[in-house]
Amino acid sequence: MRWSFIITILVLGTAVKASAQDSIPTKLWKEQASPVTYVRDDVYSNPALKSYQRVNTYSLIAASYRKSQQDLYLQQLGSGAAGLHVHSETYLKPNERTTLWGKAYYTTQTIEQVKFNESADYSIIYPYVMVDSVGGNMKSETYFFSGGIAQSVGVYQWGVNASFKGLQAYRNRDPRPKNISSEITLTLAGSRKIGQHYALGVDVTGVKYNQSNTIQFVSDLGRPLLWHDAGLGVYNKLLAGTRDAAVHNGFMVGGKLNFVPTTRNGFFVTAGVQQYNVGKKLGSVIDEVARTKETKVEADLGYMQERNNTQLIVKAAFESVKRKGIETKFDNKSSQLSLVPVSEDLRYLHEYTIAQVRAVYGKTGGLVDWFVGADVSYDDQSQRYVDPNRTLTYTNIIAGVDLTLRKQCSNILFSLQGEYKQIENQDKNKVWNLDPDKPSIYQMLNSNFEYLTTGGTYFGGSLRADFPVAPKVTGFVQVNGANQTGINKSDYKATMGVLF
Amino acid sequence: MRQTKLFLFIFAAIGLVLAACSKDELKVKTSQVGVALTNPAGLTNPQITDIAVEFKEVNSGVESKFNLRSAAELSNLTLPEGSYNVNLEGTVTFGADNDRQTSKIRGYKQGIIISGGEVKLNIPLFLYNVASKFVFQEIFFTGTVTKEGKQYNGDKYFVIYNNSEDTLYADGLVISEAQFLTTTKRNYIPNIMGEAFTAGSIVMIPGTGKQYPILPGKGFTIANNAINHLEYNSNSFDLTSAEFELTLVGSINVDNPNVPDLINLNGNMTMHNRGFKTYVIARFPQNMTIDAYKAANYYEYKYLNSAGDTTKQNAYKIPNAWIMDAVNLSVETNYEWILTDPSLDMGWSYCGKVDSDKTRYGKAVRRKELLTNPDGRVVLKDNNNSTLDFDPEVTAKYLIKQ
Repeated sequence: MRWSFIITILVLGTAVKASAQDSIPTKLWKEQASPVTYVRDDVYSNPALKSYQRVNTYSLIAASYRKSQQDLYLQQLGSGAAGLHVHSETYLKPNERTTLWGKAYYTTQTIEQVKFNESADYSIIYPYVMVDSVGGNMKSETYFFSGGIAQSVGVYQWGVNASFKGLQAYRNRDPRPKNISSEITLTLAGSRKIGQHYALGVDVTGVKYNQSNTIQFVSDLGRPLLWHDAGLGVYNKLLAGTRDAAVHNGFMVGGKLNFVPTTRNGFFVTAGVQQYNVGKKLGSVIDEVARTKETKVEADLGYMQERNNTQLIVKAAFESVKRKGIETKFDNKSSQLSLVPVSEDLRYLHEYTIAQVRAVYGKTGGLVDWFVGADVSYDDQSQRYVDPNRTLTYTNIIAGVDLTLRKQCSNILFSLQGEYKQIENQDKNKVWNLDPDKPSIYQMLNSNFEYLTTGGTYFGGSLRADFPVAPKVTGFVQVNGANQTGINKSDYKATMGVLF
Repeated sequence: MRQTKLFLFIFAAIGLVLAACSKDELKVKTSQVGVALTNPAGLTNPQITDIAVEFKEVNSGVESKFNLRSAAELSNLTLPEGSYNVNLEGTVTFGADNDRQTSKIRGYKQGIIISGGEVKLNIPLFLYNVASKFVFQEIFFTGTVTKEGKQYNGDKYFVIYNNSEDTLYADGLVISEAQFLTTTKRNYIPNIMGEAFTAGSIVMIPGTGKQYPILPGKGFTIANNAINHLEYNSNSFDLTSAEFELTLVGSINVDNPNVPDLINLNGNMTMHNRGFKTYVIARFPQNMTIDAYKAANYYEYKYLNSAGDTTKQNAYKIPNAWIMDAVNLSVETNYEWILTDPSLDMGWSYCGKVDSDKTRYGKAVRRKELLTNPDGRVVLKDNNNSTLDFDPEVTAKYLIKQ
């Protein structure tokens, strides 16, 4: 997998070098370092609309080191991470009709204090993770590469994007999980120009997901209890013990409609729906022990304007997700037979709604370029489990403002960004009976609940300097820092790279 | 106009999708369960009252308990679908009108599948009357761990207790470890569990018949090796005070000539150190020789193995009527069945919650104390249900003494 990654980087780099001469570094930098761009890129994520995404073609290779740490955290995801990230991406227009793009990255990191989760890709397979009572730091390596092409035929465009993500997570002391996962994504898209200023796009995405999740112990004296979580600390007692091999197989299908301006000026609307199902099997059980079925509905509505020296984008985003956890009950008729399924129930349900409004306004060309942004989001979460009955619900509101200043001094371009957010919990509720036999699970649930419902103040900032290193090639260094009270989180990152 | 139509179309699509986001009801499927009871044979006009029945679903561990006045109320119970073990206790009144007697009654059944709309099940009942006798007070089967982190097995032991108000004699007492495993359920043919215990290793206390008196409320220890284990393992203890010792396989047997050895009737008793076995105390009928016992109680059985072929094996059986006490042992994550008729023991105890649990070493199962008589004699709890009668995972008593 390492070789695939290196080859991808080289191919991208070569392609980029050939076309980078068309770009103008200052314009490129201004587009690249604009907070408007970050919001706008999402609007044009449909491959058949990619040609409208950026004005400037570019290529970027960067490496960063990041370290984060927090006192309150979701136990299954760990208390922080430290690691190296190497990143490469490109966006090209080799001719008027064609747009090409690509992306690849490699991340190696140590995730600290991962508890109640010996599996990888928690966000995809939860709540059905393998668990032991020990946990510990987990090492992980992620490889990702993707590429796509869009081509116009009259008023129509077609586009395709494919990506592969591979991950391995492991620990070199007891308990010794070894998890390998892959995620292959293919998106097919089409769009049609509507009048002079708008385009209507549609895309269909399919994902194939697979994870092999095993755990070993080498201690002579034995091993701790191993179980398979079913949500909110509940687990099937028949499956607990020494069942140390699991396989997760999943697939996702989704589609989106996009109505977007082709000139980066005008209203936009996107709406999408996706269904992501992941089944879990254990090595010693023939039938699936559990399956998640997640339905996600999302919609964006907004307005963007890019005129003279002003830029504006306002985007309202809505996302509603319903994840159903369906469990099988078994009977252990005899050791000669595998466990025999006797019933199946919807036992776990995670529903959440996130609504967010983000606005950024900026003015360039004066003494300094400046951008001021504001956002507010509403996050309503509900997790429930039945038999035994457990509930975790909360509602958080997050509001924040940010300011970005850019200034060119001699031939160095500085970009300074500051961000302030206030996180407030509006409502929270937990229901789980104290189980004296499982004090660690009780503590985990309480700790997770405290993390999810703790408010606080977030301060973040970054400083970036871009400088010429060769004709039409810009180098840059960037430092980011952030701190959040309440959960006592600190997050630092240092990045260096080249842009051309 | 055209763009307005497009906007309307997209908003309509969003609206349709949002309308599909209805709230789901979380509710497990249930079945209506009708329970019929089969009374013990020979009871005249039995009437069962004061029924306490407990259904334990083995996947979730959720227990559904019902306290009912009569058997008629068992005809329509509502339970979540699943696989259950059922435990029933009640009172039975029986006999002719002018000579009614009352006794405690029990029933136990495991592996009952409750699924689908309506389920009928039958629970056979048995009378139980706890007579005071020799019982297991403590079984230390896990062994200890050396300072080097290695398993140490020679210091296992049984403590057997006279739970009666009479002096009993240990002479001729038989202790047996099960042939089968509580973690491996098989359909052994013929199934003799209702009438006898299938024995693996069997040992017998020697004696003339009145050589080893045990006073009421007193016990004695049968050690694996009755030696001072501290000389070999500083995490162990001194077992030279044990009253008896086992004769183990030659490679691990250390004989203490000052301590009487038990007679091996069948195999060597090594005691399963993960606790997957069952132990019984029995006494053969008077004047029965070992050869006569073996000749009369040879048991050939067969079962379907994992390859789908029939495996034939043999063992000795011990009739249930000869058994004074029985203790099933297992671990929660691997438990599949009990190895005794429920009338002998309808529960099980444990050290460790998982196969090869490394926290189990140095721990034993110990019978709970029921009461202390005015004369100071402690009566131990013996309701033929090891789940309730024993404290699991207690520190072995010889470790406490240190």
